[in-house]
Amino acid sequence: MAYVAVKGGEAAIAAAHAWLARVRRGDTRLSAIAAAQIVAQLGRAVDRVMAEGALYDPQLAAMAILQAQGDLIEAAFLVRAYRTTLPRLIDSDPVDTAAMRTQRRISAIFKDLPGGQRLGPTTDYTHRLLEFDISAVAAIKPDAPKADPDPAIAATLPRATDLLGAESLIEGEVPSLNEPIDLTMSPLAFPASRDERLQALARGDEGFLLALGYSTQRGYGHTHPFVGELRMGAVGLRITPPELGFAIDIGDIILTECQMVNQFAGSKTTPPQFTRGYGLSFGHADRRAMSMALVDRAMRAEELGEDVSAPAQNVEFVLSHCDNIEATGFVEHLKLPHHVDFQSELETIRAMRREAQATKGAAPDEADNAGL
Amino acid sequence: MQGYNFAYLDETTKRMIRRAILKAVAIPGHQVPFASREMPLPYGWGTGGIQLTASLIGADDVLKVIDQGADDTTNAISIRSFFARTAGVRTTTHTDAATLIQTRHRIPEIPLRDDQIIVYQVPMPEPLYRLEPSRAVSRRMHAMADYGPMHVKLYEDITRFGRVAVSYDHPVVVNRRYLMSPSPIPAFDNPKLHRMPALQLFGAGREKRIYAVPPHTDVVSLDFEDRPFNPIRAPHRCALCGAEHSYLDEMVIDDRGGRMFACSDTDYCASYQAREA
Amino acid sequence: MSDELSPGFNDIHASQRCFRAILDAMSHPGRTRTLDEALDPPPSLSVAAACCLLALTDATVLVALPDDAANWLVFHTGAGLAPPSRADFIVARAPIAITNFSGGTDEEPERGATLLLDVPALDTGIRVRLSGPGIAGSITISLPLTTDFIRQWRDQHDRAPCGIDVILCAGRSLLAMPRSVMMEAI
Repeated sequence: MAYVAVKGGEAAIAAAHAWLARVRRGDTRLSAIAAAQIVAQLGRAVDRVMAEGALYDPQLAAMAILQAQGDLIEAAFLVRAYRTTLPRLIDSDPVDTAAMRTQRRISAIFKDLPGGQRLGPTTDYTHRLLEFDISAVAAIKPDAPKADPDPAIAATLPRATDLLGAESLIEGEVPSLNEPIDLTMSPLAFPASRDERLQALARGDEGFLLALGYSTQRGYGHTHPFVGELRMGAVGLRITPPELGFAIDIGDIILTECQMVNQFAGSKTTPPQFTRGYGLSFGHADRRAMSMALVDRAMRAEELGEDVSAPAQNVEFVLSHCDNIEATGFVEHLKLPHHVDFQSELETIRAMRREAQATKGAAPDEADNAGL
Repeated sequence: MQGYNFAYLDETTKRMIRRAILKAVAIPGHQVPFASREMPLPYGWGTGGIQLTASLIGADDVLKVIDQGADDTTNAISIRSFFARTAGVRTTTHTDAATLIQTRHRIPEIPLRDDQIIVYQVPMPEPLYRLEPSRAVSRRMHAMADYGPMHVKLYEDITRFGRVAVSYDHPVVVNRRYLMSPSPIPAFDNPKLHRMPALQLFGAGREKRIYAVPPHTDVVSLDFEDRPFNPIRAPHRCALCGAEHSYLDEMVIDDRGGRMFACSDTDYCASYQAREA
Repeated sequence: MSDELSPGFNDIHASQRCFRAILDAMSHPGRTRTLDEALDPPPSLSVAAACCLLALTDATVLVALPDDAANWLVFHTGAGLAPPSRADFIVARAPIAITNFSGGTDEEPERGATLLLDVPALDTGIRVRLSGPGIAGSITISLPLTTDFIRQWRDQHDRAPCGIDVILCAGRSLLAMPRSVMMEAI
């Protein structure tokens, strides 16, 4: 009987897990992938999982990608759920991206600038042709140009936006005096401050940020964006243990930063200035950092006295829906049994149809009822 | 479980949730925001309820977990085994043997006692969300007890369908003050909320809200004088135990429209069968 | 310094047990709960009040309490210290003016403070009738309160949902009065 089948829940779960383990490993005649290979060869996937998982640890992200069969949202979820259990030993000092050892640094607003334009390891100018012999191409040709022509210029480069700042053409960056809100330790409340917004965006879903950023370019909250600068490279991470009282370097992380220069604003009292949108991401993630910068700027509409009408400008809408761990959970929870609620809907709709039939003077149609 | 704290959550998180619970009890029906954590189960799978249970549970507790009224639904099994694994507590399927009951979508058929706590998993704690999607605005509406629009919405149902077309998650007013979502329980279960002797706690993990109904508290389902709240159940007896007043699941048993009705509360059904035998 | 301080809880289960006792008390206003935890708190704190503070405070909350207990609490839980008007938890030795404490706002009434009223005995003083959430009908008990405090409590109801919640502590016993409870002297 059908009812008995429901009773096998525990065995069904165990069987599902066993099946999943087999499928995950795939054809055992092929060698298993090591997490280290994923770190080395699927770097963009690792970067995305670190960003959305909100934990900088390439090895863990690679393990999660492997465990999740390459499902990056599932992998980010694994990382997040692990991250939550970690003790908070100390807060790092704010990173200084001006001191980044840049691998890539481009500005779309100046033809050239101190330190120069530097493409770095980008796909920007590749021809998107499937390389059928990718393993052969991957073997580095001895006569290939040097990947890093001049490590010496990796020293501190001024940000392009600082060059505008010197002329006061762009709004200043006012350092926040308050301790920033920690999104993971206090519930999001509206109106959300910019520190809270940027934190939410930094771990937001890349697809969602991309779509929203794109929508601003198509007129839904247009902000006249220019890429002031996009840079990627290693930034030193420092902590200042209270018992030492001075900062110590604990290692490097790779970051991508986007400074978007946007539509100017001004008033009777302040002369017009360009405004900023800011994006920062773990790893090498141009798309994420740029989308984030567009959305950050769009969400500043109210602060800058602009109309708030487009989705990307609606702070509550953006922040409530940008987290893909929350979103995927709630969308996918529809798979869980809902038969109790559905049953109550069935009885209600049957009752309503009976009442409707009765008022029409006709007898309730039994065949109709059974069909529900 | 090695490497994890008792009942999974760290003590700092539990304390934060415990403080929120106490305020929720002191302000019946008010949604208290809390810094919900990512749990090893997805949002929507009961992370709010799990965080409440993890903050409540002690070594002496006996835990029952149900989903759709049943102890043997897959998600109930998964959550029960999570606590058996992380807290090593005793679990039960018997409603009367449990000190702590975590539920999704049902309230057990037998009345709960003063020494029990029931924890509801809540997907959408904001009863006004269909009318007002902005939580900033709905929070103001709660502050001012501005619930007129909700009455209007229900009344529109009556003019359109001849009755209130809400068959589950039917909003209630707690202690004559706060409009509250009872979680997606069938309207049939709403009367059990009223003056229940057990403490009722509600947890919404993704929406980061905790709220409570203390024991013996007035909980009134929203209705109208000329259209009193009138929940319905399938007008059948349970095919397995013969119970006449329990909430029933409807099962399709063949492809010719055949139906079977059986208790959704599996513990109630089993004990009813045992009593009748 | 730390070796002059008496120990706090020796395991996480003590914290859970105390919380459940407080929760039971808060869910059943007027119901007395007794705590069995082995604890030797500073002289200005009862065992019950000390248990509440150990179970509920940490570096994210602000506490106002007698000076001789402050070091002890800060050492064990890392709680921040604040004047009563800004504190989340206030320890007082006698019924006092509650209007000075944070009562939260209409949108965030949960920000209202918790007052630990640490008194010599619970079942003494004026007769009051309690009713409201957590109580089937009403109960009549003696509480170590003043008529002035009861008047303040009534005034607080006019500001609902804002207000403070009270945990009365004496020795190893506690009982709670959430802001929702109605109290009249008889």
